[in-house]
Amino acid sequence: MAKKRKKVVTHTGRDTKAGFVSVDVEAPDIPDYVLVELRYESPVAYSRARFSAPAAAASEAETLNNVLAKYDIETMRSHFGLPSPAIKARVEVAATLPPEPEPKKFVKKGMDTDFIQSGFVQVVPKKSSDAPKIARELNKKGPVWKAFVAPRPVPAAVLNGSQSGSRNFEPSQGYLHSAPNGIGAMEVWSLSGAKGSGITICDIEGNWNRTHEDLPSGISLIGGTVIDELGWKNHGTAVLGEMISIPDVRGTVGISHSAKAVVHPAIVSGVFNTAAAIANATAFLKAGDVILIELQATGPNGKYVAMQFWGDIFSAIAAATAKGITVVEAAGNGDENFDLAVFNDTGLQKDSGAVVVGAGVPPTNYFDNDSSYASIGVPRSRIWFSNYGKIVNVQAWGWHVTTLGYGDAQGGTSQNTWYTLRFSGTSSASPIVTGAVACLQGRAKSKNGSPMTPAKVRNILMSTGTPQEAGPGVPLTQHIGPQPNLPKAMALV
Amino acid sequence: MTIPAVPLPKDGSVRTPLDIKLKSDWYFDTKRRTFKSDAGETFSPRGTVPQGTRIVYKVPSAAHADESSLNEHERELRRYMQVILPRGESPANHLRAVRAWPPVEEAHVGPNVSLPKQP
Repeated sequence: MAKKRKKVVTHTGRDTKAGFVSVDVEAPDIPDYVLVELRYESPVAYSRARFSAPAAAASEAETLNNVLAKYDIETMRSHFGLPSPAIKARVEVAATLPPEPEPKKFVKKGMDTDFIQSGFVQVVPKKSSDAPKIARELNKKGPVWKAFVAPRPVPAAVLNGSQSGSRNFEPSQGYLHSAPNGIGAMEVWSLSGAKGSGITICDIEGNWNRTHEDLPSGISLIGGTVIDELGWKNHGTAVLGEMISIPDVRGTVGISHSAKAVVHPAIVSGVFNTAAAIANATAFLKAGDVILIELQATGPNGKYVAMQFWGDIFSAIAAATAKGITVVEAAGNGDENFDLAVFNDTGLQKDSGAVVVGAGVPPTNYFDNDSSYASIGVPRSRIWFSNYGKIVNVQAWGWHVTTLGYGDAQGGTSQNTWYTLRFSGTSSASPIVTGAVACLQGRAKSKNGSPMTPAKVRNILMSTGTPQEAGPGVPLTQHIGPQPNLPKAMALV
Repeated sequence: MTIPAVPLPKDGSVRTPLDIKLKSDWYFDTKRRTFKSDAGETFSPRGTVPQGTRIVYKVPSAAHADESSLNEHERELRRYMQVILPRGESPANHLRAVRAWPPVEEAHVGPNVSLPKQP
């Protein structure tokens, strides 16, 4: 007789086994499993019960089997459902590879997609509680590149029992989680005002889907003309999602989901006029509110730079911060050093008062867009494309941020149900910091009766953040600053 | 290395202006479409740029505000203007002429703006 599945109830606004969820959901009691990624160069295969290897590498398989022997294993299988011959074939290819080979250099030696996928093994224990222990032990073994308990999906939800809903992507919003991985947003939401209450954010870029199902109603266009192009529309939608998407059982939850948002395209009178957009936003907002500049432009070296390079935009930012409005600005994706002599006496070496944001490596993501699958770098080190320099104050996730739009995570005929797992660049980093600012200012207003100055907000973010790390080719001298840590920052409000 | 970004649509719906910064003692009389200096000099740009060109303050609210009500940054913003050429005119072709205008301290083709998103 089949065993009756019990239900697991997760709780409101908690870091659950599935990842973070903002509301109650019921998930079926599906078994946990360990996802093991074998090193490319390890000539190890596997069957339902054990790892195997040719005689020359028998010890490599044995070290893994010794771990399995301690636990009751239900089965092992290919994570990508590859047949047994493909798993066995990986041994021959692996034996010819040097340590940590770059896949594209070894395609002719058989390092193709099948080979790469064959290294992903699901180890399913009979007891779910054994999974973390197995992962921990396998991680210490030479043939294993990485082993972890696979994330548990949260089921599609039904809202109010009347309409079919979108999937819940909150568990993949790692940037909400505690430091050092994320900014610790969910840790501070229980504080009065710390979800951004009473704060208005103005996003300046080009277009938005303001009717997306996971955005609150009433996002006003306060000036300018939108750019009628899907790429720009998806971008603005993704940015808003990181900050103010609705906490419910579908989609994502915004960092500062109690804040209000308005939008202003940088197109005024048919041309780009970012200074006018900032000035209009400044006139609309009040002290404590936040402006986000989600744009970059080509600088004197032919690389993208931050918008405050141009004098009018610098002055508009400075005018906004002088009125108590915090301006958050994307540093841009030019791999440009703002401390070069060519930028002397420009806005890239002066303080506009803005919080300038670089793109940092998130803890768990990879480059995987050229059919290879390689680590992007050391967590919180500069991602190779991020601009850097003394004026870059803080960093946040610049790769594979889960939010609204694009449709790679969930598509459909209506753009209102589109979600992405892959929003990247200083584009994805800047809204994380903007959300953090809104949380801090909401808390300041609630606790102290008034917001903090933009300078104080920036100082708190920088002094309490999780420090930048160095990585291969990206030393700390390529400054992008720390990643905000809201629990520590809140202590200084 | 070329780093991809999200560029503007190529349908011409967004034009590129010439961005100019006025010398500190000059301003633009929008009614008479003439530049004037505090010393009483005037300059009409008519004939130096194509017919149909618009010359506008970047932040009109600052330009037309009572100066005493503005902070130093807003006063600085009053010096920035845009020269918006008729559709089909290349701004680069008119940069030299605009730079030669007596009221202009600096001029450049408007920045090539994109979104800082990685693919």
